[in-house]
Amino acid sequence: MAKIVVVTSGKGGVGKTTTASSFATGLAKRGHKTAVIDFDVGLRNLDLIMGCERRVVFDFVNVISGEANLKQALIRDKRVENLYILAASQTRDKDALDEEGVERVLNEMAKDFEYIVCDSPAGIEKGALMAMRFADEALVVTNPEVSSVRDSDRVLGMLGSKTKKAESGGSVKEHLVVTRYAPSRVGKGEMLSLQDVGEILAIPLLGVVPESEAVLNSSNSGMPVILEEHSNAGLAYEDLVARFLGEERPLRFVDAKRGLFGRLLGRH
Amino acid sequence: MMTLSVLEVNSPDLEEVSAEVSRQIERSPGFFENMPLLLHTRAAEIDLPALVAFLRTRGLVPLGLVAPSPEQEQAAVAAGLGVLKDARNMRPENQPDGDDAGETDTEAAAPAGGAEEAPPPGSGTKLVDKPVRSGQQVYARGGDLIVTAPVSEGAEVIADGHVHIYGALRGRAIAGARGDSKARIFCRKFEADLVAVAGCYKVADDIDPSVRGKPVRISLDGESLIIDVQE
Ligand SMILES: Nc1ncnc2c1ncn2[C@@H]1O[C@H](COP(=O)(O)OP(=O)(O)OP(=O)(O)O)[C@@H](O)[C@H]1O
Ligand SMILES: [Mg+2]
Repeated sequence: MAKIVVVTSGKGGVGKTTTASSFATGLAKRGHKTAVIDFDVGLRNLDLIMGCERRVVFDFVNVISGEANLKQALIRDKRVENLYILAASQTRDKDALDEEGVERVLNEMAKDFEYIVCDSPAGIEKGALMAMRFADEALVVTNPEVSSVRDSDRVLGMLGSKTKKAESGGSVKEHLVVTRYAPSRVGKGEMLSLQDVGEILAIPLLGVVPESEAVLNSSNSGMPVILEEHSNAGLAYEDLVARFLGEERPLRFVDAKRGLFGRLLGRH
Repeated sequence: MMTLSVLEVNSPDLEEVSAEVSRQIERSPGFFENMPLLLHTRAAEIDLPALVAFLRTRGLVPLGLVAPSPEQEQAAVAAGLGVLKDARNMRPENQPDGDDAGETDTEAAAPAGGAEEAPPPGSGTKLVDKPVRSGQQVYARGGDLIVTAPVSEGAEVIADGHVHIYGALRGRAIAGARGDSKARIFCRKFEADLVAVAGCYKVADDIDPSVRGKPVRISLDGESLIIDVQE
């Protein structure tokens, strides 16, 4: 039976899709058969970042409605073995995600995959609810700023009350992922520190991904940044996947590089 | 011993009363759900059947009219309400006294202040050992609330008795929600949006910044909330 992992945040544009694509790719690279599903019906971003947008014939909604079967809709990644993508429909809206249909498709996939990664849309409405509904674990993606942290807090409340796991007396295992972290801006007080974020959300930290140009470059070229093995963001995602699978890895890229002036002025 | 809430209706204007009740309910969603209620009014002209119908649509359960005038008595019976001739008989002995047995009118703009009742002594304590997140509300009806984790900004914790938070309080905390003025709030790290005891409240802006981040005890002294730092 597959483990279902939702990547969620509440606030939009914080790096869910970036995280879901690299996380799924990282799991697959380590030999785990993994599927990543785009729940952002109507927008469709995941296939762009995964670089398979030109191979989409059928999508998640087609499978839910029975217009296509899973075999037809799952797109095999060309670079990484064991990795499959289920794209979102661009022509439908979130009402197409009916709960029974989503459950049926996930159950069918669960027989065949080790991990199913659900890329949630922003917000706390139906699409986000369906993405987390059947999750076993959650990556809560947060940027180090007040509104993002607050939305993540809200989403943690939903994970604790609106998921199948929570309703049946269990709990979704929660992991904090802080992205777009810029240590120098934290030093200047323009961003919350890791400690602030951790204290407010009070869940274990799985990874910190630095603000990095490599993310934009790689998504423009349709490649999850984790495959960019020389970028800090790629390495941070690599660490994150390793920790998720139980390895111990120290945090990297969380301290500001000290420029000459910083040192002369005795900052930090 | 049984306790019941009394809704004090001081205006004959149904629209005004409805708006006020709705405000109270929206402020504390869930708090009033299916709450049995007695009505008391000096406004003889109020349209009782309409008021009762309105309260039911908002999830309240009006049971009877307290100490009605003879005309009101007839109207109450017609509206399907019971009639309680003397409100004093309904009060538990340990009712915190003072301002005319703590009647709260619908104008009282305090969170969860639309009804009043004393918590029954020795009743259950509610223990929450997970963070209370933004958008969530926890209510310990008839007793104390203990939270062993943080209460987030945008979350609300309410007790008829005391509220104890063994963590940071960043949201709202309301103790003595049904009028117990001896109720207190304790927390390890005080960063609250709002605190209230027995309907008397303070918002973050009105709180001395020097107590922020400190462990505190909050109690009611007459009409004012006292926030004591407990190092
Ligand atoms: N670590 C990072 N460094 C720099 N830019 C980043 C980083 N992570 C994400 N971004 C950029 O932020 C933008 C939003 O990222 P992404 O699409 O992953 O967010 P999202 O949470 O999925 O958004 P939505 O809520 O719209 O689905 C993109 O332009 C992406 O390139
Ligand atoms: Mg996205």
